Amino acid sequence: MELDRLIKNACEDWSAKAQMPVGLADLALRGRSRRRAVKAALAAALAAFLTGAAVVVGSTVATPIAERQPTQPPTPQLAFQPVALSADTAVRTDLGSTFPRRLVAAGHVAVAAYHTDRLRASAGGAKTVESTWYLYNPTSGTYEETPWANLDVAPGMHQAAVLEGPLPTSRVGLLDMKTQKVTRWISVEHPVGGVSWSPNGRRLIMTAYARNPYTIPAPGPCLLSGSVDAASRAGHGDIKPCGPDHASSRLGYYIVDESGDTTFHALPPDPANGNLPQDLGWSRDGTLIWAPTATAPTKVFYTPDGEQRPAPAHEADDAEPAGLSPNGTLLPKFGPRPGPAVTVRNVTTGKVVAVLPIEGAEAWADDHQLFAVGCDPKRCKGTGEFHNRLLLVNLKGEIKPLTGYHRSDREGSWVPLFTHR
Amino acid sequence: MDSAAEARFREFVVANSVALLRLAYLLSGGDQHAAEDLLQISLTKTATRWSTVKSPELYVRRVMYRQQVDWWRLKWRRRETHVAVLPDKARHDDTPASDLKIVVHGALARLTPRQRAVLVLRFFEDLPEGEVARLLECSVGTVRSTTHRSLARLRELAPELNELRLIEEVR
Repeated sequence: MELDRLIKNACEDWSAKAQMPVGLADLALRGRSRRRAVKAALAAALAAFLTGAAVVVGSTVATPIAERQPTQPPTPQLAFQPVALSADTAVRTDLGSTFPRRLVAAGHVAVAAYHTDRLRASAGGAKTVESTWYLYNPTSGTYEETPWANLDVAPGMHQAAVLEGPLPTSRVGLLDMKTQKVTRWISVEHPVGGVSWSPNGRRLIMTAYARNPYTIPAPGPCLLSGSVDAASRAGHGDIKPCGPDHASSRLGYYIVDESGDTTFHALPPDPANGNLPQDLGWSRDGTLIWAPTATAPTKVFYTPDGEQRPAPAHEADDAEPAGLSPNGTLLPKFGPRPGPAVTVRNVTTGKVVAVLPIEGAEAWADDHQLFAVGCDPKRCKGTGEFHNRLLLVNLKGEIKPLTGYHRSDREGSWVPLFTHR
Repeated sequence: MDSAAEARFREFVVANSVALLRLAYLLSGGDQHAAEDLLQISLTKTATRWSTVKSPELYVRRVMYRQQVDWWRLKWRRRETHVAVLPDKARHDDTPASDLKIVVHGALARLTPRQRAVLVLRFFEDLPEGEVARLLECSVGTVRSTTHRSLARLRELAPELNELRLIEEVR
């Protein structure tokens, strides 16, 4: 290898170690450095001290930053680690086994964790879906089984919010993924069953429930709404009203900010939504939160304080889990039939950009590639649709397998959690 | 800046931040914090001139190079660079390419910012000498001599590269 080629390759490898900070555009628009004011001011002062000529040049570099930094009271110890995103966009696969063991990633996104689910018998004939979570350990480079009942991984994959079982739980742990140890516990009055990081990793939303949202009541018909008499006249015999365990027990939510302060807001479940878990999430820019519905539009948006707001453009239309592309222009939707097919449309022009031979669009790796679920092309008919695996597909329809095949309709199959790496 | 211009700026940052951060990281000799500073200051300067900038990516890169050179001229950045792992000089002749790359990382980190900037511009960015001279506001002759001195210093810091040259000559 020639020296210039070696330097180029070495530079490419070396620069991939840079950790992408968040909020670059926000800070630039506010005219502020993302680094501490003290450091910028110190640098400017030192430059001025070293050379008289530097005063002019140094002031153009650092003075605007120092001037615009407001005087802040001493900052309390932050609950959350600073988010540092990776600049690594290499494709990482683990094709060797049904369950991934090594990191699976592409573009800016990785499978940060995954869970497998099992049904356990509960009291009175009810059943509870119990999850086993496998979390990526950056120290070992593998996914490792955890004792947590639910979790979410912060952007940058340095920290996870973890919930102890049985759900709902009265405390949420902040887990350092490198050491796999909880660095802080957040206690809550109303027990929580779901947790989600804001897109910038600086806030958490935790959904509170009165009962385990994953406990399914004993089977048997019951009347969800309307009068018993009307139902009887309609030929439903002596049907009884459903008990309270047939409806979601969501109580509301907590917002946790960087300082670790928690604020509870009541938000009862959507009565038209028959799903028992109704976890809340964040809008794409992290300024609003949303509650799920059972129909289109798929989400109702609120301010973090609980005031309802109109949905941001196309954010309540996402029929596929991937939702809008990172640049906000492409939206995948299932179809056309018979498929398997997902159509990607440009929401600005309305034009179809691609029809992809996949079963579902799970997450965007970047603006040109999707994590997708796809079945074995030779066995895609009938129940063969469930013999599938995780793929990377680009807008030309070119496919790269990321994991081995599994049976997604069987108990114990794995479900990925995608996070910005 | 109106809301449409702000949206365009945000789109630009999202689309280019990875490549720009990588460049900042190299120019800063692998110092993550210095790289963030360099990129942030360059983006801030670009935001203030956004309405008049015709080629934003080129503009940010130019600001970044000049910023780095300014810092070099101010000298306060011209300090010893701490590297996590020093190049290991004891090695066998069959050092694989991946090990050589690590050796080069360590040596690049120990060059002066200006030496490193010239090598990054010439070999990572593949820019011709004339363009490097324009960006660094110096003559082509200066670029040529700085490149020569930088490569000599790189070989001094990483003697393994001399063996690489010998191998090339034998072949």
